[in-house]
Amino acid sequence: MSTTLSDKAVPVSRERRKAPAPLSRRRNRAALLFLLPGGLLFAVYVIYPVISSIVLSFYNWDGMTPRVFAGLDNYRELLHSDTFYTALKNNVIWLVLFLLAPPCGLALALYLNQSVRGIRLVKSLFFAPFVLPGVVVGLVFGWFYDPTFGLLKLIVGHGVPVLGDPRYVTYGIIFAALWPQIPFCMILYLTGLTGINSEVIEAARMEGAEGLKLLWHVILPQLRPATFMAVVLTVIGALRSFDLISVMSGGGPFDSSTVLAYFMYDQAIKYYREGYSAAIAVVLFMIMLIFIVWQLRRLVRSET
Amino acid sequence: MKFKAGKFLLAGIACLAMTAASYADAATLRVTVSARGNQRAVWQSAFDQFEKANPDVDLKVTYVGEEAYKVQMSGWLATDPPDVLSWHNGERMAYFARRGLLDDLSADWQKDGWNQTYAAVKPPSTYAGKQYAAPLGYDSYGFFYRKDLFEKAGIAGEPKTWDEFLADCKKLKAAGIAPIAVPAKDSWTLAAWFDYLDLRINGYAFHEQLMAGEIAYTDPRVRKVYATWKTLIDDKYFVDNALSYDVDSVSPLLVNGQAAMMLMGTFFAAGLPEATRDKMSYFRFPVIDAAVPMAEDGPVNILMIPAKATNRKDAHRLLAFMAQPQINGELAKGWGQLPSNNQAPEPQDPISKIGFQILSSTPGGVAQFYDRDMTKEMADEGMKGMQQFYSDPGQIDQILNHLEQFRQRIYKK
Amino acid sequence: MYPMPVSRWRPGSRLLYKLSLPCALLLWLLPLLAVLVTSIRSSDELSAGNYWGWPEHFALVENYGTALTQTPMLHYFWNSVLITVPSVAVSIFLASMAGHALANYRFRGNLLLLAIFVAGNFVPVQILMIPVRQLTLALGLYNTVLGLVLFHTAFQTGFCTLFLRNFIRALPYELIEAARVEGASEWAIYTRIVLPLVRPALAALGILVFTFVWNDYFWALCLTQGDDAAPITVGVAALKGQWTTSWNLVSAGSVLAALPSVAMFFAMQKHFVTGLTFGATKG
Repeated sequence: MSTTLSDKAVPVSRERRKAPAPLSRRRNRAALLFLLPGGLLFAVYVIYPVISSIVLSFYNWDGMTPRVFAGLDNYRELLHSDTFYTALKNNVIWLVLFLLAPPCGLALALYLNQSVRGIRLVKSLFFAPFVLPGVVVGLVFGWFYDPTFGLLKLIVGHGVPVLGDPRYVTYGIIFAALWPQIPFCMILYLTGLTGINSEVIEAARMEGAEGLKLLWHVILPQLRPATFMAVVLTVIGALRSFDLISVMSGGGPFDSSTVLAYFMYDQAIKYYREGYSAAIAVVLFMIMLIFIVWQLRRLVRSET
Repeated sequence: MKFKAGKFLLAGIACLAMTAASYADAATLRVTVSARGNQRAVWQSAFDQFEKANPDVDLKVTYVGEEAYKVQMSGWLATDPPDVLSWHNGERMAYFARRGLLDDLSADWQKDGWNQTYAAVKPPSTYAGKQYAAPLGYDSYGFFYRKDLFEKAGIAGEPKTWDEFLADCKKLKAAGIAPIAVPAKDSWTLAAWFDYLDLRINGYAFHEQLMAGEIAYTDPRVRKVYATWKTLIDDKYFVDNALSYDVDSVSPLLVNGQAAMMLMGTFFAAGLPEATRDKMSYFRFPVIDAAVPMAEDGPVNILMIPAKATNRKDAHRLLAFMAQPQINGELAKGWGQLPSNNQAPEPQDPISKIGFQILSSTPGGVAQFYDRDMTKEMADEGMKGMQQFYSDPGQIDQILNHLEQFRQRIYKK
Repeated sequence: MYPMPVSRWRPGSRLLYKLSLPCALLLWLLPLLAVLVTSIRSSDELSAGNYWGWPEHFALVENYGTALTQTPMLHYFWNSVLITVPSVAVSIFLASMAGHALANYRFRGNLLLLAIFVAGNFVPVQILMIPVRQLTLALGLYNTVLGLVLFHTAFQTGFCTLFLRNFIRALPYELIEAARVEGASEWAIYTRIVLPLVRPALAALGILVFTFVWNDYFWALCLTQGDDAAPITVGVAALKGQWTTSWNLVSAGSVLAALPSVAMFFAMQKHFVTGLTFGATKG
């Protein structure tokens, strides 16, 4: 069913609905009422703070004494800071590698989408890593990587200082972060799989499609909303990654594993540089904005 | 079912909140302190004693976890603070004193005799000639070592001089034991090394100037500290992959006998298994230059009163109570620290005893530790530099240049 | 149903599949098993570096007992319930309304609003830290359960709206048209047609939002102080020992804290049944 965005009355063909004027006004009012509570809360607690933070990025403020206008100073300092570029580089690595989560989540969802006995329990247990607090996940993987007593040493034969080596630390953390992220994508895909039109599948099967061809041409397109959510949320997760970095490496050794979200938090909490921290946040947000616009355009195009 | 109970509870909470609000009008003394693990119980016993001795004060204590405390504290000081807060001495305290957020305690130092009983820790409790802190406990830093491993390597006694120390490291290495463990992932442990090398080579006065940002990082005296450090790294006296271990994960190395010594605070003893603790002893960081008076690191925890506190009168009473020798001693003992009150009873635990004796006989001065004496931002950058240096000592020139530029930005601002 | 239901496989493959499940599960849950074993391990063994071996001394009662009594854990647990349950319920409800509006109604600015909801989700939480704290203080809700509930509801609504809007969009519009022809009110369309159809999505969101809010530590740090309104995450963090971290206690506390989320997932499983959605449109 094709939909249009315009609510102006247009010369109508049989396929398009024509809404008589009073009805459309009633519908618009209904839409507004449906949107209002959620939208209002969201505006107050999310939109307003974002704007407030953008404004704050042009000031110097330690949270205790009055703020001082600083113009573009914070941004200038940021562009000259080595840590900023390291953080940016790490964010890119996170973005790329973290996107392994949706395909792995899909694979798991497909693997578990059966009705054998006890599958409910199995699905719940596969989901379990997601409910563990980041601190605990970081701790366990830290033990995995321990060069003297860790499992990795047992497997490889000699200690690999993953978290102590600036070249490997980010990869070590991303690997740990994937463990809870994959079941997250798995849930999204499990939900998506329940919504697949079984008639279409049967029809395709009768035409002889099967296995990977069936997956690629018939199933995946129907899973597009789930994929959209999985990718969007994984990107958000990658850019927001904080807990694990904080626990496993504290951004180190010497800032080699820091990302923009951690850098920003550090500046605000440890050094009381709220304005500078806000500037970092704005930069991070700008990066995300590019991605948002791109994703949204794809979404809209796939619907029209 | 759940919803009904929820509604009742919300109503109940609202009632409690209103009653609590009305209570605040009476002479309440609001105290917020940082407490990790079982530190609560120790605080509580001291507070209970205060309440018994002062029944007219309505004491309300809030315990906040250490990390949460550090995040939230500045917010409290700025808006609606409790009457008493716990914190760290040195620059950490000065940071807030400078902004006029703390109450002046100089009168208490005078009238309650703290000038005598806390003489050793008066300098770090002072900012611009006035005192703002009531000291609690502190930790001594020195070398933990396995007596049995020393015997095995053929080492007779504890090293008193740097040459003896280096000779002992060589013997340990020959016996197949890593001489020194250092959990370099926690960068502050590297700062402990820097502090002591600097205090032993250049002395307390120079160290304090460096902490205050008055000395350039490219100064040859700073370079000398790193050069001395480098000899240990080059000779591989430190354990392998030190940057992968933090304070928690390094103890297995000592427990299992893979490493023999570690420069650490006396609090570390409490976390060791009993079997290991019996095999360990503790010695002072050796003398490097006999002409330099011995100085030590002894970071002190404190109580302070926010300038915006409402009930300052009772707050001063609480501080006077907590600063008494006996209470000071009890608190320190409960937390595995050393009492900073020189009239407090000496600790009985063997390692703490040695630590106490070291700190009480320090002619050269008591520093607060690298990251409490220095502006936090500069300290963190310095510690990162140390991790970088440890990982690749050849980079020392770049690191010192970078730190110097950083120092100019922070301190000239 | 996709993939081919196991009942239609060859018996050999079916057996292989059934056997593979526990093996895969074991491998996947290895870190979780480590947490469980750590929670009954004694501190001495941790200090000796015995992270992965079988414990020699079982400290189950000591660890869990200490975890429950060192700080008022049960009180924190109750706070978590008070914070999480309303947040989940209200945010899903509000989001379903907003998602329905964005998916099924044509009006100017529909796409812009969607873009704002999406953008709001991408916001790094740290950017919200200071302004939300100031706001909560100004509203007099600092250090209250309600303050946390309001924030979580607001924040999760954004994410849920996005999710539900996409899900509702994929539903067949004919149902709504049919209802309109029969003269149903907009509210009736929402409650009798849309809501029942989005049940699987609501179940999934319920679990996700529950887990997000239940495991949140950051906002508890920002908006509470002390014990009054602290959720269980604060309690678990406080289990870290004085100078060295008591990881066995933290593990015990984390296990206790994680149980509700897993239980929720298990309970919501029946909503993930295939074919539920389209049963309504057939015939």
